[in-house]
Amino acid sequence: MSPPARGAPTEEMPSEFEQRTRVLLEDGVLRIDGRIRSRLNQARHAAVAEAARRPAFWRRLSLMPAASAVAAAVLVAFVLWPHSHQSEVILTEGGHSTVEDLDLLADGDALDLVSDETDGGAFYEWAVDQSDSNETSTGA
Amino acid sequence: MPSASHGDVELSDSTTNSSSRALNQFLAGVELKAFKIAQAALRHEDDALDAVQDAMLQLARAYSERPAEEWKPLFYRILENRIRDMQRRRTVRGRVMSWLPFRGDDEDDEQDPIAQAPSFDPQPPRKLEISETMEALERALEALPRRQQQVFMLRTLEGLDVAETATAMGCSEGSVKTHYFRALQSLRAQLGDFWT
Repeated sequence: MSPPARGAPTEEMPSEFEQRTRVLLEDGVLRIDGRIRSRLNQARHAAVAEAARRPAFWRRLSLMPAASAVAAAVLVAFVLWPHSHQSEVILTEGGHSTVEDLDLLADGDALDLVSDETDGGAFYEWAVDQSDSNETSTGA
Repeated sequence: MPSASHGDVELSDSTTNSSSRALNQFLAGVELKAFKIAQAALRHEDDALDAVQDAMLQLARAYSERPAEEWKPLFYRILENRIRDMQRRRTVRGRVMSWLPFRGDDEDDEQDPIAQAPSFDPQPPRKLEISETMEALERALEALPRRQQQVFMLRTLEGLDVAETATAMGCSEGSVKTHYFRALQSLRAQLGDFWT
């Protein structure tokens, strides 16, 4: 087996030297005395207790941005909604809102009325006559 | 609804217990090796204990919510930072102390009577016969440059792969390979006689 190049990984196949070193180091770990083990044990329990205390507070913190976003959205909607509603509704001369005109345009029958109008305005003549006759009957 | 909220609490508690158990298991698995790594770097038992304890707490505080498979590199990264801080502090303290005309007994140097008390642990014969090879290995490890020592300990004792070691050390995988190879060369040169 050729020697590894400078800086080449040697992890694929640990050499005998590495294996023996590992065994020795692990043996050293097993020899750690009771005092050290006891203190490590205490430190571990303190850390686990710390982590167990953490979630409740952590969850509250993690919920804060979402709650803030919802509150901000509600506030913005509350402040902007009435103004935007008033400013966007445009009233026509007859007092109808443009929303009603949109309904007419969306209605297929309305397009027939338009085409009738271009054909000679028969509908409007009829509507004017109707209006006049109503006014006359009301006035009488 | 009381039953639902009770159920939520139970679910939350069981989740917490489960993650606590996982964290406890992880820390129990690494604490002894981490102590040996810190001891090799700091050459002082109590400092090594402090470093490991701090690393455990930091992991629990900052990363316990992370997936368990990320804990090991993170833990050793924290430990490495802690070791480096302690070494820097020690260096600064050494410089300051060298300027003082008189050095009284430092509080840190006071002997802990509990630590000095004779141990009543059962002493297996093997423990009493500390092998020459083990001592030579420890001396050789302590003589290694810090990065080489760290890479060697993480790779050999803790069994981290190259990528995990790189994460733990905050360096590239290429650096890890280079440090590891140099550490091996150095140890081979020093310990060759003990291995034959």
